[in-house]
Amino acid sequence: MLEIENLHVNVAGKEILRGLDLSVKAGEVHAVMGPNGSGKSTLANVLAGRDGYEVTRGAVRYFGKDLLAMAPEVRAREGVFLAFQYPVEIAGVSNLYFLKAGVNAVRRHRGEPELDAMDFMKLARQRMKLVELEPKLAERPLNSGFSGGEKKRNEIFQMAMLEPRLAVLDETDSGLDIDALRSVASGVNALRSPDRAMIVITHYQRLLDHIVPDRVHVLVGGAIVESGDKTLSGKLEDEGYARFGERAGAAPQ
Amino acid sequence: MTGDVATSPRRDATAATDALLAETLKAAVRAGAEPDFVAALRARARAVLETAGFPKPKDEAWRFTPLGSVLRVGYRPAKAVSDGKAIALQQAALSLPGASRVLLVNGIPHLVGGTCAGASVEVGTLADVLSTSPASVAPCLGNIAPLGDGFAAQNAALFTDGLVIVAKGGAAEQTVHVVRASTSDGPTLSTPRLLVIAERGSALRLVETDVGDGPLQHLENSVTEIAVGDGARVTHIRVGERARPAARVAQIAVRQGRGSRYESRVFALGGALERHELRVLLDGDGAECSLDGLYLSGEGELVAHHTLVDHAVPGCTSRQRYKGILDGDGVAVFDGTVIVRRGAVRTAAHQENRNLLLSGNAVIHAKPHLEIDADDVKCSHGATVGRLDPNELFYLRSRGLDLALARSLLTYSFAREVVRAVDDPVLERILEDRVAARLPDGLLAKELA
Repeated sequence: MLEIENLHVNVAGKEILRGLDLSVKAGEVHAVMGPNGSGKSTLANVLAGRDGYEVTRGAVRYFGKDLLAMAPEVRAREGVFLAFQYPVEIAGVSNLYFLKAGVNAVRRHRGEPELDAMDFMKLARQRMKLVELEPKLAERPLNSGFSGGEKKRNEIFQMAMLEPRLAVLDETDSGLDIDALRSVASGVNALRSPDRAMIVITHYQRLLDHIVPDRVHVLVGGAIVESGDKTLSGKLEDEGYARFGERAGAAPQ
Repeated sequence: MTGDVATSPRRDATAATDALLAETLKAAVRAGAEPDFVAALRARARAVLETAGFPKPKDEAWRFTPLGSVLRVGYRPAKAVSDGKAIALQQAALSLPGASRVLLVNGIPHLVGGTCAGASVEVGTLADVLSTSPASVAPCLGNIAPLGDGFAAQNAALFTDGLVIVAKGGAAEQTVHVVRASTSDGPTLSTPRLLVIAERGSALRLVETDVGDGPLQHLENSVTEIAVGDGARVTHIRVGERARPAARVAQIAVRQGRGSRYESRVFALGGALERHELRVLLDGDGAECSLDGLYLSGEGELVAHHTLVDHAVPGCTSRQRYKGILDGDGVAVFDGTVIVRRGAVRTAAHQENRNLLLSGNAVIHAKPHLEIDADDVKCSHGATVGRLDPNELFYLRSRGLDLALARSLLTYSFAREVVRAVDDPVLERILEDRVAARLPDGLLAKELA
């Protein structure tokens, strides 16, 4: 599904990713762990197509297509979803109406019929239950006045509605207490499927106690330095990132 | 720019100004008797015209409002239209439920008598009032709006008619809807004069909208004076349609009594030249004003708002919120001044001006200004000029919305905060449509907001 090869990315002239390789197949959940400044969020943003990330070398293939050549909205319609580390609040935009436009843009792109208001609401109510989002939150302006946990839950709700093929979760655990973490994780787990891949980006192991990955990668200094099965995350939790040496000690200059 | 290139248009403008001034002074010589206070007002206006003339490009208040397009045309005074035409214009105008509707065609009142009968509000033409009961307007007419510049003086020198709206105390709020119509019969000048007297304890809602055949060469130089009596409440909503008339210079001057409230909601939807000067004198303890504005300025357009809120006495509150959306090579001006006079303690004044630039060629001149000469006051002001937030755009796009729709959605929601303040379902819908019509995929954006 996703092939990242020798990816080099500059942000504001500074090289953050330095030759990252990653291969993800449908149905798999990959965890990418690493210390602060290792390039985790850069990876998430470059996959979703945010401006300001300059790819200097390498390639990203998504179902054989050049992902980096696509506009962010085309990536979304092709099934790429980013759960934001910091979801934005937009007071003047309705959570549900905007999401309906997104869902129908995706459906049009896939050649599926658009959902009318009634079908959309039916689906929305069902998916809200799945991710334990309070219906009254969904009817408010986009993330407006939401707590940290509510914002993250809203991200997972949007993911449930957009039905992506590749979901990238950028530090979805940050700022969550243990109850919120558990409920967000159960929403994510409910969305695991053989057709869907996920990249779970996190600093800590605790999220991975709930969303158990198939593969764990250690991102240090802008490249993957070690990969393993789920036991690797426990090892990292015990030993820290220090054993990856100098590259781990300092964030890229 | 070399000196020659720079001075030549200025010389042209000066010549045009002089021509218009001569025309104005000639027209100002009036036949027939007028009440003394009106004759005195005319004399003061003539003096201002003769000494100061029309605004020059270097005048601070007009620096960003080039008058070339306005002053070049040889205007004829506007004439009345037939009743049939007036009825057709009125039918084309917006209909507000429960409102008494009056029509100004090229600044001249039409159909006033038949449409306005209310126990708590009286609407008459200025010409009638001046000939039958001049004493009722003598304390206000010409005493609320200053003759600060040539346009104010031109209106005072030339007005022949207008409206007098009097709201009586102790009754439920009444809505008067003034339709400003313009017809395309060549370059015309209109100088309507409105006088609004909200008596002690009264409640009036005044709505002004445009209708017309534009675009056309029409200069509307309008002066509105509003006296808000003690404990009275006036809500004043103005919707300036795009490019109708071709140019509008409007002065609204408000004087507020004790415990009164004035609310202004002005929507300037574009135009070759739209200049709104709103002056509010808070002249009685506990008076409050709340001024909201939304302006859109696109290719070839100029919209200017000048506000002056004068806290003359203690314990008054003012709030201003003006938001602008600029596109193409559109120009907009927000020049907002708050004065807190000596001794005007316990003043609360807040002013906010936010501008959204959708194009690199658009220009905003934002000039917030506070003059505080008293202690124990709470004053704040802020002006922002910005583009759409890239984080918000990216968020919307990452959910599948294309760039044009994401931009329109954010722009629309920026405008809607002020549109909602209109607090009238009919006007709200009209304004939402007008804003949406200016944006790519605007109708879709409107549904998502």
